[in-house]
Amino acid sequence: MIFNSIDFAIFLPIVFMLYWFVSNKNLKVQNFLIVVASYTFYGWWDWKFLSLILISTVIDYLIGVRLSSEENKKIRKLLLWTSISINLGFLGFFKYYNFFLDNFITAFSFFGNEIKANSLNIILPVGISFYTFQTLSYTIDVYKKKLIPTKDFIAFSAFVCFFPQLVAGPIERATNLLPQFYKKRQFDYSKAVDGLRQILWGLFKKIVIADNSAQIANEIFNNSSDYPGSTLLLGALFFSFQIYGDFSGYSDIAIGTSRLFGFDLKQNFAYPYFSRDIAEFWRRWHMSLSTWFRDYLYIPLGGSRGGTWMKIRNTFIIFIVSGFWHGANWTFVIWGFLNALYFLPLLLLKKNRLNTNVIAEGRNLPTFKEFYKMGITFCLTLLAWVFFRSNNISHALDYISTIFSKSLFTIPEVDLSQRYILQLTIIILFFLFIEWKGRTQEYALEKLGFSWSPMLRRGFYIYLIFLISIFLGEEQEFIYFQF
Amino acid sequence: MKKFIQKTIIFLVIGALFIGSLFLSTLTIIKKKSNFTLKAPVKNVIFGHSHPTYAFNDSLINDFKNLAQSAQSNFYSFIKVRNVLLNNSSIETVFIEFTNNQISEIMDSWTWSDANISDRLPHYLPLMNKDEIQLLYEKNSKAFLSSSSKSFRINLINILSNNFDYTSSKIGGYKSLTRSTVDSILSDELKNNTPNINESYNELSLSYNKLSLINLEYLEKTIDFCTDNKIKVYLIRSPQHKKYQGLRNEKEFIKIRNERFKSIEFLDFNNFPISNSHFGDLDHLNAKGAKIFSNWFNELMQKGLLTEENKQMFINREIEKYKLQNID
Repeated sequence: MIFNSIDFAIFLPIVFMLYWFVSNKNLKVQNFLIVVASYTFYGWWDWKFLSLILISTVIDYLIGVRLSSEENKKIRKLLLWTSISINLGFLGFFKYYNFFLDNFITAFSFFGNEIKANSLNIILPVGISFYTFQTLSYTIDVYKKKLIPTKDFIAFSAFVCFFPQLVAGPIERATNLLPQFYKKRQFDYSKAVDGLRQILWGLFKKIVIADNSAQIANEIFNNSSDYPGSTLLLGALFFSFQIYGDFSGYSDIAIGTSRLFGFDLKQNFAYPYFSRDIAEFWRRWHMSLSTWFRDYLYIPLGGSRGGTWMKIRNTFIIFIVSGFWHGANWTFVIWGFLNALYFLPLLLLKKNRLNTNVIAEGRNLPTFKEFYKMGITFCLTLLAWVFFRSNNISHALDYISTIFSKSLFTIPEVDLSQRYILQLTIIILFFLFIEWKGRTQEYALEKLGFSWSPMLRRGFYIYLIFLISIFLGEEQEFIYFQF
Repeated sequence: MKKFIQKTIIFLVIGALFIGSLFLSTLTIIKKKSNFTLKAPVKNVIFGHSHPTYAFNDSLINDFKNLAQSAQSNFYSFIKVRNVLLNNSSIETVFIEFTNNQISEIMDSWTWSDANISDRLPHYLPLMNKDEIQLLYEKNSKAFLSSSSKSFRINLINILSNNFDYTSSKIGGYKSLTRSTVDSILSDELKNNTPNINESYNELSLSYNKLSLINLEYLEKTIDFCTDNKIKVYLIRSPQHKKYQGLRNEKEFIKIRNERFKSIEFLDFNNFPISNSHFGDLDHLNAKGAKIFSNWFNELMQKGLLTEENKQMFINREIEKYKLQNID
């Protein structure tokens, strides 16, 4: 089931009513309802893959329980690695098996050895990268004694499969989300209203910005050899708004939906396109994944504490692994590598924490210098997105070389209605304006219009719904479902 | 909790009412104000899909307007015919393209596939009646709903920009093709020893035995509408290359023509001699081909084609004459 579907529009009110009116008296029943609702939500896509979630849940629960009573270091380590192996084993098999197989065959044939092996027709279970990392964080935190393991299987199951963030995050830490399942949730009017507001903004980002930008980006990327550099640049621009609207829109809907049920999830995007350098961009983009890699990979590797070579090594490892997490394709690896290249000079010059505050704090407009830095950062990101979106590396290289050719200085032409492109451009500018206004908040709409009359504010929300209704296209899956 | 539910429901109802009424208003305004009056009154018009779109250069034919549109099924043509005829009293004759691929099941997808609904609905939704809306909704509700949204946006902008003109390219017109690919298609066929079948031909060949009942039904409706309004109707077949794969259902095509459209005169230009270089591909004339054919068709009309007792015999005779002239 996807958030921008009629199925979900029916599913959500039903679960909401059952949650607050039928199961509200008993915490266990309420948690159990979340598990049932989450399994239904996931099973709507393919019920067969529910078994993977169930296996991960049971194993990590049992390992957690065992870790709570086990003091022997060797056994504790063995338990940890059992959890890591099983979880990453599933992920590796479903996501990377064919990739490694194809690359091994290519590598061996390069040296003159022909290997016969058939690729498997594997379907990637939706959300496997997300819930695998979430359960891993639980086991690792329990192992490190940062978290007391739970004995409540229902609460743990609900934590693993919590439907708002099951398939595309935010990747929640057990230390933040799990304790929320232990406490009885009380309905909070303002929190619920806030949740609805965030859902509305998420739907706007997904349906209006992402899905419509996708139509233009897909047309250009899929026929890139037919277009001049100026059009390809336009395609990359629309893709950058597509991916931001798509993923941050999903996160907003997930966080907003959780609020309706009394849960607080961590912010996942903090206006990344208003960043002044790449380090700031990565503190603002897919924050739950960046911090996961920081805490469970970068810091254990030594982080930025060691010598220069160690810093360089760790930076490349974390960015390349992060790229590889996105998909079994060399394009994602290059995307990660490029970002490491962008980030490294800042780290080595100790300038990676220069911009930790919000841009133009206390002001309406950025200074020229801030605007320039923001523009440079956006351009670097744009270049990296070309690799992220391209089908393969040669496609990306051709795409970029056409952008940097003479044809960049021609008038862009796309085989789509010019009027539609213009309308969408105006809507994107409106969207950026709202995001800029709300950049100090958790999401742009959080406090927007609080000084207006209630009538005007509600009118503005209806205007957003109106925009959604006139820009509604075909139901499109979220990009991050494939990760 | 009650307050939350109450307020949410009120907000959603108000929002839905506001947006719903705005949507219905745009449809009503467009329906009322849509302008189908042709800029220059003509006596003859042609409707159909891409074949006549590219074949009839109406700037070269007297008293004639090409309103055909690429990939258009008879369902949408009927809506267009209805509106054009009611707004143009000068029209005396309607030519409707009737050719081989129009009997095939492929026309169903031309009526309600995602891409076709998305392309057509924005302009045609305000003009549809209840039954037509119901048909599209039943056949493809998802595409219907998402394209209704597109229709809402496009029609709203048309209203705001005071654009109610339906006679421009919105509903069709002559288009020129510059390409000339027949020789390369045929040499590929020869090289590969297999017919060069593109996806649509392939579908067509797979569905020879399956008819598009909806396309035939709407052709009948169009004919009935014209007849009821005392407009003379002719079915017409534009030139096609003799190697065109779509001609493989010729037997079924003739059978249907004789069974279902016996009372309507059929003007067949399929055998009009056009050289390979004057075809854009195997089933469309390019600009050069359209010029030759349109000039010849204009002469034919001037010679009194429509007053001839046996029109097809007259056409065949004129084709033979044309062939002789061109050999000389």
